[in-house]
Amino acid sequence: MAFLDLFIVNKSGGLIHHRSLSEKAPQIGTNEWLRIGSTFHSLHAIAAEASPVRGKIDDGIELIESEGLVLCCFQTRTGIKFVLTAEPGTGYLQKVLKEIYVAYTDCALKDPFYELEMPIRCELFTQAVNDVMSRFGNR
Amino acid sequence: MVVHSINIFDKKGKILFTKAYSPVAIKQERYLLESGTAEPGSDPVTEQKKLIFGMLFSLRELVGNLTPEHSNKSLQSIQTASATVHTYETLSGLRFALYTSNDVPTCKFSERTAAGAADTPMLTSSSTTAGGGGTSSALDSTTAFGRDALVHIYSNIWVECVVRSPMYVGNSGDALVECIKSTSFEKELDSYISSLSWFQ
Repeated sequence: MAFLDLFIVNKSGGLIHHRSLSEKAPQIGTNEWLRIGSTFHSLHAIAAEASPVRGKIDDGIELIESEGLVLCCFQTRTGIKFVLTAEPGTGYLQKVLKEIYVAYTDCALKDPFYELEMPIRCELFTQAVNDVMSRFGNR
Repeated sequence: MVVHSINIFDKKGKILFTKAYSPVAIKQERYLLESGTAEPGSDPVTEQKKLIFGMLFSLRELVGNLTPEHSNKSLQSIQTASATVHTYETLSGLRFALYTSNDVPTCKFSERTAAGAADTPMLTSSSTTAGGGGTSSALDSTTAFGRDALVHIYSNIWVECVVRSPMYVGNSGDALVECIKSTSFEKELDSYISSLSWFQ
């Protein structure tokens, strides 16, 4: 049961972080990642628009299940989307996303040199995500 | 557990059949029609249905890019805070989309049922089987699965009523829409959906 990829999209749809969490994840080039980030951002909003039931204002995709993949998205109040993909049957996706969000606030937001909405390049954040992964038993 | 609506698209995105079941969905359609649109020749309800098709099309590509190789890439369900859409695509490109409330699992080993069984100790079933509605916890023949319902609708109702109809002219186009209206597809579909244990 493995997590595959993590990516973070800012509120304008630009990709600010992406990383592969396992060798089973497909090889995706940087440009492709950027495209995936912005496509997901738009589809997140379209899903709420297409639904026959209107939810809250910033409603959007929370979970996508497919036969080979599970994708979970956590949107913060400020519009940042944390997206995690994993093999089907992996549990605790929501919990892991919340932990990664805590790591983001601790490592990226409290870094005085980090600019908001810009790509995250903090070694501490990478390390914190590694810790979350090892805690949740990623093989 | 509510079924909101069902939509069927052909492989080019044309809306073959659409029906709203729940009062909320019907109210939304009426609201969209009344609010009107500036462009002639397109109504907001059709636009919204086309949006569903576009979303399913793009999401399938997105998920295909993210799925590891050698895995099946077919979409099963997409969940937002307000509703879940269960999808089923046939080999011929026919797409079914069923909107339900969020407590309907997609299929037997769906992620949400595994998470649900782990989080709520009231469901006495093991973590690999799905609980039924709120009251029954054993897996029985009336357990609700959105995608399995769609597979049943395709193989038992669509194929029987539409494909085997003498008016059937191929799986896309306006003639097909007319053909569907002339069969008892809608009636059979309504009775099937009402008979599901989770319909309201």
